[in-house]
Amino acid sequence: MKNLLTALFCVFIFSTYAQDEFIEKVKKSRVELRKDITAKGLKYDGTKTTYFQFTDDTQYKGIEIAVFLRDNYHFFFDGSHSEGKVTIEIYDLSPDNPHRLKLYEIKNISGKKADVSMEEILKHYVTYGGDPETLSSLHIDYVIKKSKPSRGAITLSLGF
Amino acid sequence: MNTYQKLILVGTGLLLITSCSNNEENTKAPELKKTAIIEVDTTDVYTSDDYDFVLPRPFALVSSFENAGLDFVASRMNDPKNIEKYTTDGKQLLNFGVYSSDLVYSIISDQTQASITNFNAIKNLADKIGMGSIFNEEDLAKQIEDNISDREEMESLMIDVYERSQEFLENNDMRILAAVQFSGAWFEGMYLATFDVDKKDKKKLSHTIVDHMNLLKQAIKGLESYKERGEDTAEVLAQMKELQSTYKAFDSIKNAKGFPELSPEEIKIVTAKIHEIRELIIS
Repeated sequence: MKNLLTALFCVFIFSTYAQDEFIEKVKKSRVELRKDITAKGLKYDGTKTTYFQFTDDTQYKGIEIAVFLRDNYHFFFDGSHSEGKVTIEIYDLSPDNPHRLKLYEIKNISGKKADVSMEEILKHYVTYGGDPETLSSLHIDYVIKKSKPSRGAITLSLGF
Repeated sequence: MNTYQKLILVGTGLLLITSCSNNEENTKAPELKKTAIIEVDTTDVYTSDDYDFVLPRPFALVSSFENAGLDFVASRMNDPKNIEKYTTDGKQLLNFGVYSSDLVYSIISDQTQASITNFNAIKNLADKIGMGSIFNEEDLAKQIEDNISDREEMESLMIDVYERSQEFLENNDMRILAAVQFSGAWFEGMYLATFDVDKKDKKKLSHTIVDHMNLLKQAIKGLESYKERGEDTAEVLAQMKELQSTYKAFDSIKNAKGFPELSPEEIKIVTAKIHEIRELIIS
């Protein structure tokens, strides 16, 4: 019984440590993204990390960003801490609106970094007949494909 | 739930049962139980909501009003002496946001003394909230004091303050409170931007207000999620909802084809309501 408890305790300690290590790695990647932004001559304006668990089902997580606050936002994504596939879709309206337009897509961000500017997104918006003046927010969907259970995180940093 | 988590739960469960059945260790049981619960909860802290919002930083919020006109008048800011009045968590967090916007307002108006005063107010409130430590890391307070008249440098340092306060709240399972802080910052920005509306370019002002009113729903969501709000914060929330209903009922919003343009009368109504709520926040 004592051995079993010791083993379970070790697993418990290891899991806690692994968890902390994952969070620390993600936090480090946030710092790296900030450096990437300044290296491109842009100013940094904040970060949002979305944490999730890969499961047997495809899942969706989303974030909304107010884009009218700066002249030309640049969106920097880091999928280094996602083992399974995650696709990023950028829309003009929220998921509950059936008329929303998909303005940009990054097929699979897992293990990679990618960035896109507001200017580029607006070009697509104009092509669809949208008026850039009216686009106050962007809605970003993370399509988290089914995968073996593991933790995952996508970080989005804003530059301008 | 993954295998590791299952093992953690089974393991902590067994540890708890064993500790309870052993007389010698019974005295330690409460402490062990407390530890186990905290560890399991840590998983949830780092699982994001299905739909979230990137809370705008006070610098971006306030500086976005510059195009519509933002004259500096010191008496419009919240008096730092008011800090003593804020005894509830809700009021302290809301006013942390208010002073953050006042600090940005001072910085972009090149008002060094006002910037110092507002920065000290933020530091005092951070101490009250229990997150004064955010200024100790890498001597952030000193960096701010040294650069207080440098707009560009301060913009970057203010982002550091914001991120550290967010990280502090996240690490302490208080993510929701970040939205309360944002609500205070948003109202102060709107308040400062809606003075002398008769003298301002109506079209520009209307555009800015309409853009910003999209953020009100996020501020409302933030306060709604904050379940421990006291009576004073609940009153702020009720007034915010009233503002949203009033705004949605405007003809220019209801009948908008494309981007809405508020009438001068509607601008005045929004302005009056914003000023009323801001008074409630700082009272």
